[in-house]
Amino acid sequence: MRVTQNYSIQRLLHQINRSRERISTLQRDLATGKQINQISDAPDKIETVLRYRTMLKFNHRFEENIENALDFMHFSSKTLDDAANILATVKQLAVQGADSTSEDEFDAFVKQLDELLQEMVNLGNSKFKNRYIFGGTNVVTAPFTLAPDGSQVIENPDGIDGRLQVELGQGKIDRYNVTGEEAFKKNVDVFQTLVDLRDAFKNRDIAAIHGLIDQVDQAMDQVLQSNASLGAKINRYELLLDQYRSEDVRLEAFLSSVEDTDMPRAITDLNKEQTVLETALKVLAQTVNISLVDFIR
Amino acid sequence: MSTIFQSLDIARRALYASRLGLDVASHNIANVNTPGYSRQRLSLKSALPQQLIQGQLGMGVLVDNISRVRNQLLDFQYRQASHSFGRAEVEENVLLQVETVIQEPSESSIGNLMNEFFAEFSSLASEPENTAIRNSILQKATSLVESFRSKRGQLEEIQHSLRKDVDTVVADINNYAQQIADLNQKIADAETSGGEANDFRDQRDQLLDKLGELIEIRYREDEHGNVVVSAAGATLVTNNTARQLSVETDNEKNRLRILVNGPGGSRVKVESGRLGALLKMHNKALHKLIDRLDKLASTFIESVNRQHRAGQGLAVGDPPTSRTGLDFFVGTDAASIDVAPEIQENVANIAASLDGSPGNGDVALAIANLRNAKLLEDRTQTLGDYYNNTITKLGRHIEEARTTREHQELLREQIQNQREAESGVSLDEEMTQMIQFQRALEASAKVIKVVDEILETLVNLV
Repeated sequence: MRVTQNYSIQRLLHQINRSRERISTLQRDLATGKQINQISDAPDKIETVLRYRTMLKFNHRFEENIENALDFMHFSSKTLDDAANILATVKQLAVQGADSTSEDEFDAFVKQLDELLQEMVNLGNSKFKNRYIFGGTNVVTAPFTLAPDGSQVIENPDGIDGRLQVELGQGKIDRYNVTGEEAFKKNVDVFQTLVDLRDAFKNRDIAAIHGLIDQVDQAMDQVLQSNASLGAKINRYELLLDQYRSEDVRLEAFLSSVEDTDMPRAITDLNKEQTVLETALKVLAQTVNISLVDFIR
Repeated sequence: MSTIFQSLDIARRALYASRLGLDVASHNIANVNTPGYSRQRLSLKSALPQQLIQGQLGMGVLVDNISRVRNQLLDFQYRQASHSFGRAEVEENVLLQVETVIQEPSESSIGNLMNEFFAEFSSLASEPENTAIRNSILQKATSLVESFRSKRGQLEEIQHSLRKDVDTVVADINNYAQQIADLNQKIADAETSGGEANDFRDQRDQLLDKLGELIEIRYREDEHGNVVVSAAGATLVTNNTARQLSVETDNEKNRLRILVNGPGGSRVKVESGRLGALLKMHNKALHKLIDRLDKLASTFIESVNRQHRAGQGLAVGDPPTSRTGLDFFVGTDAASIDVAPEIQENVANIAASLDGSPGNGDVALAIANLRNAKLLEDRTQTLGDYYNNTITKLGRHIEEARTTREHQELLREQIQNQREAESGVSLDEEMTQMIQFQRALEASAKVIKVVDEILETLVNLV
């Protein structure tokens, strides 16, 4: 085959050009740590990358949703504990008070019960991050108001039974609040029980007091049961959170295997390519200009 | 009977031939780096011999012709590979520009911003009265609409620049065609007096190479040495006349068309070469992409608005009132999409609640779940699917163009190498030729000297 000077130069230049192209790609892969920086880097993988990224994004969102709901639920659970404790105290008072004889004792019980009632209303109006936790969806209005004369507890007329919902996963929507209705109103009206008990003490009505002890028990049951189902839900959410987190690890590992640069390999390739380029340049510089001209005088 | 003067004649012709040989070699050396140049060769033949009684007496050397070393088949193959290469290269370049606009995968891509928008609504669903989340929604929505608008704007800009490229390429084609026609004339003129117009032919071949990359051409040489060039089913060059192409704009559909021979001329369909690719990108690929972006935006706007109108915002002011029936977005496509002014004014107007209670997030949930709704392509694809499909299609298109480009580039390179091997000037060879002719010239001079001495001897005899 006939080989001319221009032929050699052209071939070497193409070689050098390709070499530089590969080096530039490797440099970028190494600098960004990713081998998929744009669509054309891996047209066949881009869809997978996008899909997994979306999955990760929403997993993170669900985790955050669950975490926020959990904070709210832990606080609700603590409040319900407090409410149950108050009811336990109330029961103790009722049992003790049923045997009272002196007027002073009765007055003292009435005073204590008034305070406990106030405390219970305060618990019912507990706020977490500025939201009334037992107000249903009416989170900005206090759900319970003690009438000024203490004769009754009035609930928010807009309703206290709305569901606060959280998106836990694709198509998984769940209620995360205990409504004021469920905890304080459903079967036994907790507040009315306290009001009635106080009034019974006020009226020195021993029979009524005895009759109400049972109701206090029921009220306590109701609060405890709300708390128990909340506790079960908390467990479920925490389990779900764990699941998401381990899924994240898997997704991230997979994404990284697809789009991250294989560093050792990229560095080895870069070294190899540099050697190729240097050699090609040296060859170009040394041999291309040699011709017969150099040898005849 | 041969005379002594005949010896002088033979030597003179030999001198002439050797000098011509030196000239050809030096012409070759001078053009060693000239693009499109084919090396030239001097062919010699022995002169008509003289018939003597004893036999034929050679009468020295004659110059037969000076011809170029060129392989027409390689030229043909080169031009074949050229138009495919031109088409694929333009496609690849344009698509790489598009890819930079789409910016996938990245945080600022439309796909990601749309996901973030939906994710933020998912967050709002559990705390609908939270103003911080509402502000975050407004911010994400603003980024999203800006991204829609700017990406669409940039795609239109690419399309606009393609239009300019088409004009340039058409001007180049016209220019090359005219030059080829002019060279046809020059070659015909030169060759009537015999021999080949080597350098003109080189120039014409180079123009055909260039033209062949811009548009797929067919050509043949007629008996007078004219090339007849046709492209896209229409004759471009015959003899010394070239027909001009022009660009016609269909403003209504924003399409470009190519006409032969000025306005009112016949339309031609250009499918390959750089011009074909530019037209395809301008008239089809970018239109399709912009259409898809518009479709995505309009479906997104409509579906979000439909849910949003059903909901109620937060009650604000004195007395507290909440607004309902508001749109979240305004606009009808990727160019006009924007966040509704009521939402921009006050994030309380973002409707998350169905029944009006501040903690109800039913509408927020419904909007968040639009991401799972199959809204497009006959209700088979979600917004995300549709977007990802667009990206995948773009990716496949780039891959295809790149593979073709790489393949044709390699092929063309190989053919070019073969052409260079055949027609390129080798300095070694030319130097050898020079030595050869130099020595021959010296020898012929010597012959003249010897004849001269003989003549002198003869003259001195007298």
